[in-house]
Amino acid sequence: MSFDISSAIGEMAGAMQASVAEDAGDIAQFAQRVLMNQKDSLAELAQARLDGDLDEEEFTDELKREMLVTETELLALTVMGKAAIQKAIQAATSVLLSLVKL
Amino acid sequence: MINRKLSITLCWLLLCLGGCQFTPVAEYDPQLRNLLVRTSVEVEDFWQQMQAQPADQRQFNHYSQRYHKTKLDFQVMLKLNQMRPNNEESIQQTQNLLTLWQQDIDSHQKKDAFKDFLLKRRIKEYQRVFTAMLAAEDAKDMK
Repeated sequence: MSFDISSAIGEMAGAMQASVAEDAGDIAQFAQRVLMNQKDSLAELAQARLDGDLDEEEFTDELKREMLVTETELLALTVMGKAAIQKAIQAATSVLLSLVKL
Repeated sequence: MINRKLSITLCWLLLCLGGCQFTPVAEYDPQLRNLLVRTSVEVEDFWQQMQAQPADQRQFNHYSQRYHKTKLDFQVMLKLNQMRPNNEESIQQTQNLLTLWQQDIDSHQKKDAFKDFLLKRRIKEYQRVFTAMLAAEDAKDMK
């Protein structure tokens, strides 16, 4: 029984590409949402400071909170990225295993 | 044709090398997901109920029990996250959530009041945090 490595690599790469493409849209959409959230939040804070709704201490505290919230959102993106790579590796491995199955 | 084969091989090698140093994500925990959904609803309701009260009736002692109960739920989340290997991001997310909550407790206790503007922000802020925590948990579900 022969094994065509070029064809196997092609099939594995295809499986990985399909898997990554499936997750890439969700990740991009989430990243865009994080950016929009932060933009809106900072604009609201700046306006509140200008309108006198927040004093200087409150404004600084809110900025620090905003950084924590954004960090929490970025951590979600890190997990999503790692999971996408893991799924792609699993997809390729599963193709390889099916090709060498006796 | 050779170029195509070469690029595919190169991609595969790079991904394999990346894979060698790659840390997998933690296993998906449906119990944690349920807890996240339930507490996110409770937290939103908490702020909305405070918002419904006139500003001069938002003394800390009216809310201290719910602050405490919610903090316990967050601590359960932290424990559940800490029990799983390769879960650093979710642990950090939960620690951020606890930090934000403790800041709210301390500030409310100190001022014995809560501004309308800050209440509006809290609703959106915690929604963002829970959405991010749920997105991280859902990503771990490999099915």
